[in-house]
Amino acid sequence: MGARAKQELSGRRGGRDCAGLPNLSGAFALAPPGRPVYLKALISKAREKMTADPERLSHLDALEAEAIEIMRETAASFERPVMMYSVGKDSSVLLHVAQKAFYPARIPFVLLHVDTTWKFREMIEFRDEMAARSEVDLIVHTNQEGARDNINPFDHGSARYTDIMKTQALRQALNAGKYDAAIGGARRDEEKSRAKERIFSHRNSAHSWDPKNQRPELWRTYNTRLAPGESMRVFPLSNWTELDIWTYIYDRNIPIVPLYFAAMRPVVERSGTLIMVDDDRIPLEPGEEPRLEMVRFRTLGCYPLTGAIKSTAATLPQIIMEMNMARNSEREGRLIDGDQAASMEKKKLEGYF
Amino acid sequence: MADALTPGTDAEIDDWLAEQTGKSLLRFLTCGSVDDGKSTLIGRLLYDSQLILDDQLVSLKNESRNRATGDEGIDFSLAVDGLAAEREQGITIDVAYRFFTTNKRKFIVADTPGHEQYTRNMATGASNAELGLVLVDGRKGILTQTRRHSFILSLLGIRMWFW
Repeated sequence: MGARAKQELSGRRGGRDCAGLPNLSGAFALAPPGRPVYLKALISKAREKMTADPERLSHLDALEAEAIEIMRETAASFERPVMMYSVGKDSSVLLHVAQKAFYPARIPFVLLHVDTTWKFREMIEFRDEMAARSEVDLIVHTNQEGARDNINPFDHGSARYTDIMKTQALRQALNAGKYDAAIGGARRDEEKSRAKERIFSHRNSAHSWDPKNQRPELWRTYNTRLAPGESMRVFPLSNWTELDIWTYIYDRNIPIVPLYFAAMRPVVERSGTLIMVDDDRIPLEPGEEPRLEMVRFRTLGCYPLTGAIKSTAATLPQIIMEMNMARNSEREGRLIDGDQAASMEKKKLEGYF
Repeated sequence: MADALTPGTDAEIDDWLAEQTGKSLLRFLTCGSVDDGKSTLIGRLLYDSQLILDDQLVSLKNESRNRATGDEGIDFSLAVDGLAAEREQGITIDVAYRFFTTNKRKFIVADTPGHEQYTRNMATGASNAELGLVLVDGRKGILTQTRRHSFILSLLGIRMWFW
């Protein structure tokens, strides 16, 4: 959005920073104890407030306000929250929202990055620069046993590699920190099992999700109660779409990893997917020569498992325009999701984010 | 990095983005009794308005084998029934959220389950919706779950549409 439009917006609303949307838990708390609560009256009153809001807030502001409220709710309701930081575009937005939610104070929880040792080098550089620049506490965890055994996606296959270096590593880190809530940047529009997940999503003591028995989650009254050993995964960006993420990054000028922008990069083609040769650990087949192509990435993960797309979009508006024309979903470039139908759900049952 | 984020922006793209953020949002849900076609309707609407992307369509076609399908060879309920148990049993267990945009508006649709034991999931989906779409199978008429869902909608103060 340009300066002109920005001015208009802020003029209309008088200031960009608005606290969260009305919280219904407040309405219930007002009812005096021991007297019957007139549910219907309370609900219709709350709805009046709720439906009036989208007209005042722009779409992005409403999403931001919702995410900020969820962040604050998490900080207030849990003893040891942690925020997952994966260095991707969603994490950048998550970090921005978290900083805004608690500004001018520091973010009251630590950031956790699960490093599989196979991330793009530019991602690691970006992460370290971010940690140095922003006032955040960042913990980096790697599954040491896996690293010692040199578990890699080439020799062990993507499924086993993901299980050991991502899922198990995450469980280790969450257990070690005794975290009772982990905030993540997953969105419902990403994948069909994520479309079903609650914003506050319950996990048993083995970090497993029970999709057939999710808790009710009405209005914005989140159920944050846990039995000992259980934990919660929290998704403040649940209702955002890929387009919302990009327009927000553009509108708020949020820094992201340069890999999202098109550039000449060395790639090899593996079963129809373009894999970037990020270092010399990738085994080249005899006679295979990396070639330079104009490519960029729609999602970022471990470089041997992330497909590049051919593109010339080198600026944010170009990326947004390109995405709008795209006929494929962003997860197409993720090799681990295609392992089998419902594989995301399966990984989530095992404790994957 | 900083350079890449400050492009010499094209006025058209700028306007387009302003329009995107300024759009209003409608949240609605589909509800009604078991097997009255809630998920299939949403899948069908997404398909007909070409909002199912190519790679999703390919996997949808693969998954639709061994199922009762129409001319397109697609079981449209699979577009929203994302859980493994839902696919095995051919029912919806929990509410699914789908997002789409037209030139005028953004939509979030909640596709809710019809089974009695999952009524709380329907209420979860209804709590944040502004409009409800109650589906009735003309052959079976109004069933207990149709009434129950309609009651929940009115309790939550949602304007209704019957179909």
